[in-house]
Amino acid sequence: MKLAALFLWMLLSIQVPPAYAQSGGTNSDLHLERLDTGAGAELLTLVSIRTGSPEPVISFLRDTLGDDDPSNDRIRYIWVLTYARPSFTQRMKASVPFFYRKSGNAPNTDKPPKPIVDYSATSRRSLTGVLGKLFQREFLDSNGMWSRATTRSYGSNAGEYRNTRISQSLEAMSSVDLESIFPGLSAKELDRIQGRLIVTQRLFGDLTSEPHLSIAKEQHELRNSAMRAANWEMLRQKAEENGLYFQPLRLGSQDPSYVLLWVAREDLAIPNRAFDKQLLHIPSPWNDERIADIGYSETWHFDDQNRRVDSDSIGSRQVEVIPLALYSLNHPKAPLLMVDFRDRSKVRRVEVRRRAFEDTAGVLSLGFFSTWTYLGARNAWTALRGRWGAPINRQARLRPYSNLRYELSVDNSLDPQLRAIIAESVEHLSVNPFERSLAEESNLAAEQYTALKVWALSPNGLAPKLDRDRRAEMAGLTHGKALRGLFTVAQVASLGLYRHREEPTPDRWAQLDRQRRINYHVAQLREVLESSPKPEVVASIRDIGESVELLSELSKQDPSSGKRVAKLVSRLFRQTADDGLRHQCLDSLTRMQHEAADNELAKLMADPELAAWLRSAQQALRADSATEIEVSSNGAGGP
Amino acid sequence: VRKLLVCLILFVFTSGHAADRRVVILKVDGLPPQMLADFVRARDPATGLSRLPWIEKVFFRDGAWVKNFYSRGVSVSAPSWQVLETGWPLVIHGNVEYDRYTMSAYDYLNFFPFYFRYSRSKSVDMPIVETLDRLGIPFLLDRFAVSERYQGIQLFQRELRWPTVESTLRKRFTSRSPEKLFNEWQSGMDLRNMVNEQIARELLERLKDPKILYLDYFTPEFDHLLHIDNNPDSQYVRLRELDRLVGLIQTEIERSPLAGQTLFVVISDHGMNTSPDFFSQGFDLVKFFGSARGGGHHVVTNRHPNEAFKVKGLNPFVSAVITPAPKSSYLPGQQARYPTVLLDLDGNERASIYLRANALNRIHLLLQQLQRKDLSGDERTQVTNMLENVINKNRKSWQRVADELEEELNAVRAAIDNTRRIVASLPNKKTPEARRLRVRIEDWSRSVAAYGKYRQTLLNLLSLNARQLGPGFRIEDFVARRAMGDGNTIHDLQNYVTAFGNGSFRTTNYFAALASLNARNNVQDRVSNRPVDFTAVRIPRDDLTSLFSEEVEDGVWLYGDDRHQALIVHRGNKLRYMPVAALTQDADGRIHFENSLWGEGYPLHIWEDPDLEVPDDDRAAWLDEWHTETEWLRATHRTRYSNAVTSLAEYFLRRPAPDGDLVTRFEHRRRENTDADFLAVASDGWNFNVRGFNPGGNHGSFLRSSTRSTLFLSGVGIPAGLVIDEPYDGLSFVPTLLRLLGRPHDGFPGPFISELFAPAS
Repeated sequence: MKLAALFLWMLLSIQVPPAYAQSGGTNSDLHLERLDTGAGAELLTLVSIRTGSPEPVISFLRDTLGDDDPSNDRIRYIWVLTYARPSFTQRMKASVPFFYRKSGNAPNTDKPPKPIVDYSATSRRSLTGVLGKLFQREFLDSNGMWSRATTRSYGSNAGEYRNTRISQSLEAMSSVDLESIFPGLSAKELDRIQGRLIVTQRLFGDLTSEPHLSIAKEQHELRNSAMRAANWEMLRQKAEENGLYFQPLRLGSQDPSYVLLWVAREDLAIPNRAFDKQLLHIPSPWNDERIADIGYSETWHFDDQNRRVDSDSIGSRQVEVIPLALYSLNHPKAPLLMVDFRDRSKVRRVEVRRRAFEDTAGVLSLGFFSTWTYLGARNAWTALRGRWGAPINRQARLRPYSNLRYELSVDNSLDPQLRAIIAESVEHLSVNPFERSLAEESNLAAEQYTALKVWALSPNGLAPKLDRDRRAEMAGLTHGKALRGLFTVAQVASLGLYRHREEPTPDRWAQLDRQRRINYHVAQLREVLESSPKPEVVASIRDIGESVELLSELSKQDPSSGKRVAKLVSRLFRQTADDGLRHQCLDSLTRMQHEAADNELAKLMADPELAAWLRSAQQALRADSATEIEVSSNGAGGP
Repeated sequence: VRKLLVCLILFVFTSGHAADRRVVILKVDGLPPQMLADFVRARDPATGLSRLPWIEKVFFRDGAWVKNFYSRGVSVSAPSWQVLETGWPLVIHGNVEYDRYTMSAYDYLNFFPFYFRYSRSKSVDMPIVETLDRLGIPFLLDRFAVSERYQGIQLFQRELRWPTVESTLRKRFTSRSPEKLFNEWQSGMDLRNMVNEQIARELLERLKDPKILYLDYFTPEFDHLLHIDNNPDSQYVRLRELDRLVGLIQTEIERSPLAGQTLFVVISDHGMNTSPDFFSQGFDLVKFFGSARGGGHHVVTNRHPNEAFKVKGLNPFVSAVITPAPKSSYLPGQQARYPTVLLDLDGNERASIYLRANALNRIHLLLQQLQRKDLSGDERTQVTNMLENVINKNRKSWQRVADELEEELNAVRAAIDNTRRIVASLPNKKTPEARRLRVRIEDWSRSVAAYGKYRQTLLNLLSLNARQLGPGFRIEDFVARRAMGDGNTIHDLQNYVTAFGNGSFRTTNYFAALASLNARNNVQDRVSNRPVDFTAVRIPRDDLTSLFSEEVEDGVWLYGDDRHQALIVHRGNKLRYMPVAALTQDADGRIHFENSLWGEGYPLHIWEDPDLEVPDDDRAAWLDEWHTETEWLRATHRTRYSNAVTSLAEYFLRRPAPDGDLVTRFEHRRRENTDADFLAVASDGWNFNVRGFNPGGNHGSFLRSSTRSTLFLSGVGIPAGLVIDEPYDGLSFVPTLLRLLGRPHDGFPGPFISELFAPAS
């Protein structure tokens, strides 16, 4: 404590810069519905109103502990409202190998949907996923073809269904300025939610640390943005080279995500034209009689620079164009053919063929070591085709199929007749028995949302579940590492049936609140310290100071956090060059009255750089005789 | 005596001062300054601070910004960095250059062959350094002793530090916690910047060493990103990484022993024509030249077209790829022996185009005719006469080339022997110096062999008696395989021979053909349907002399269309831009054109540009005058085409061979042999990339967005918060930097950035 007193004596006054205002945009196509559940949590739902009738897309439950302090809030569950529990028939069909059809007629449901992400059990999914794969390999696969084929088929359909629903919701979220829709959530929180949805599609994705989620989201967007741009340009060049017309479409997206290629009726009469179908995956339109069966055309007008203009523009040239193909730009390496207007079942046929080819190895149990020649040849061939631009990644193909379905459902920009043709073709693309028709999905989302709201407000619905999750969260705060380890072992051994939970007492509630706030501020400070060698350059000194102040206060009340808070504050002291912040760090360490804090202070004292700084601070203090330092009786000092 | 004493004291003082000063240069390929400034000005809503807080602090608040700093010559990496690294005028004209006589490619941007050859002791320096060394042009790094410098991995790589390369992968994984590695694995591991991460680690470590006075770090990442993505969010992600690096370097500088003696510089070689409002559109010149309309040429490029979709595209050692013409009129199937167009498309807003010498086309076609067995006597006589005419017309120049080459090749052979003796006498043959000599010997030997072969075909042509040509002669004895021959004149390019039929040649006017290209799909408001903005070609001084009353140097002809053309002419240190129309060159080399009145639509659109800074009431009078480079730069740099007048003049100016021995003359010839025939410049929003797709943005043109480069300085001697509006180009960088460092800085052609030294600032 002498050490602490010495540092307090050294404190100098600091000035804190003012905060800056925050701004955001608005978006009229989607809006937020907020429901106070009365259980210290709010249900936030993104609802699309593009087509006039509201279509709920995705809901989050934000556990606020019933107060207005955002630092102790956490997202608990995410529901994708088009993701539903499958019916018995769907489950049966999904178990049939090579059954590539959607099965509709989902019964009306009044049950709340299953969350697609449950934050309190993020490791459970990875664990069950790994155990499931082991079980599949060691038990199901070795019990005959039927056991192997049905379970593999079911697993694959279920996984793909989940991922495509997540992809749809991500698409919906990326199409709007989320910050303006969710004013209560910070940009970082929104990024992390999207990041969570991105990584949860992978087997171990749920184990990704929370701070890394925004990076995951950022990298996902970087890849998608470059991918869309390259595909846009590739199709434009291909259209140009082959004498076609190119039309980028936005549908429900912020950026053009689709392209329609058209052919001019007048060009069909030109004989012996060449056509390069590589990457386009459609046959030559020249001399193709099926063009007449497309049944849709538009009349476009062009000026002398080949720019599309209104029909009444003076001197414009009129061209009748017929749609040939629709492509998605959201596909790696090359655009993905979504609709071939001359052969509307073609994309489905090709997809079924590809899936059958891919699924054969699983059904026949062709493992690498048993049939390496077949698998080697197949993989080499697949790699070659991929190099040449063929869509070889199944997940990457399914996402655009699924996203187009969603975007068509909320789009109002296309001509209704054209939209109907596309929608009909897209319906054929559903090859998963868990999928439903567009209209059914729309109804399902509305029904599930209603059920979710009822459940959230019901005393026997959300409240007890939330309570259980909070009590489980408390267990992590109450017990030491060893005991927590034992709880985990018990949970794993009981296949998740047992989960240790604490009895909620007022003290534990307070501790939960404190821990959440400590975690929040620790994460904030860590992020700042990792993003810059000097934190004060990249973050507001006032914000940093507030976090330090709160952490020292909270850790005093919660000594179990003392060590990590002390280390963090000490690190901040070493990294910052701001005198005021340094003083505040010393002040905080002193006031923490924790052994770890004293140790950190001692280490800082032993640091020659700190010694020099202390000397200069002393000199400054002496030179400024007018400066008065108030030292409180408990040793705390301040400006 | 007293004066001498004062001088001595001053000398000692400044020498000592100089020796202590250190420079850290962050070289960011393709970083557009305005984009950086916009992100610096933008506030992070969460913190209220700049979105690039370190760059704001170090350079905008505590340093200086040369706001109007332009790439000189052409806004492409290799040439632009050459000017920045050497302080010399342009000697490298593209990222790839081809020798017209031997078709060997100078592939300046390909690191893989360099690494591979270095590992086998076959090379020491990157190809661009080897080229500059052969020409005796030192670069900035060379002004520091080997022990005083730390160089990152870059185009101007002098030697390679294996430990850096070797430790790159290991450090990539060992420098992160298992948790972080797991997280990265889940979100997609990004290994793109592995080497630069290691360089940054080493640079930060070396900053602690007061003996190291030159440190640099080069990153091409930003340029790559801007090429593929125009999304500001993506761009910000990379800029944020740069901002963090600036923070790390600045913090380490402040902690280092030379904190008060360090100059910190951020520089880019060019800007980038990128905008979130439009995608850059590609036009495939390889397909154009391969088409019947383009002449049916087999085309050579430095990389595979659409390489991402070819297995062959995985070959990292490729430097020359031949794309056969589907519509070749007279060389079908002969692409391996007779490619007739070489393209340098890098930068992508411009293409350097090499066409085989028109005379060789004529000879080739006529020899093909003479090989025909069904040729009638009259036809044979006619063809023979035509062949003799072509040969006789070129006899003088070919004889001169053959004679000069003989002298030069003999001198080079002697130099090879001499160098071998030197190497043999060296006690340690593994030193970089010894290896450099061996590389030089190998290079000379290859050149002597290749040039010797080309010379032999010239001699064969000169001794050809067309009337005595027997059956079964071989065309390659007279028309060198894989050779372009001498450069084409404007007359050749306006009457370029692509086929023979009915007793005459079929020709193409490439200026008109390129200008007439247009796109069917014009879907972006800001992009026109014409991919080619203008073409530019050098007019040798001899062809211009008769047209001007004063003695002029090489000029440049710009072709927009038949009625919109311009001449840029050099006279001493002054330049003039003249609007002209209908320029032609006749077979005898005489230039004819119509003088035009000033008006809209001429190449570079100077007249109508509202940002042209000349007196409004006397715009025509000013434009009709000769002006110095500085005057042109001041008047035009804010216009749409920024420093195009000075840059085009620089790009096409050929300086006479330096005085020296025959080996020097040979090296000068090799350099001149890399001259393309002409330059095609893309319209705004267009590019000529065929290697892949570059929708994000491009550079290479003279548009201000492409030429305006970044130059920020901070640290010793730099006034805080200074923004310099006066325009400068790349030539000013080296002399200014050397002067700031207190090192010898005289003898450079570029002016100092004087505002940095002004007492008031």
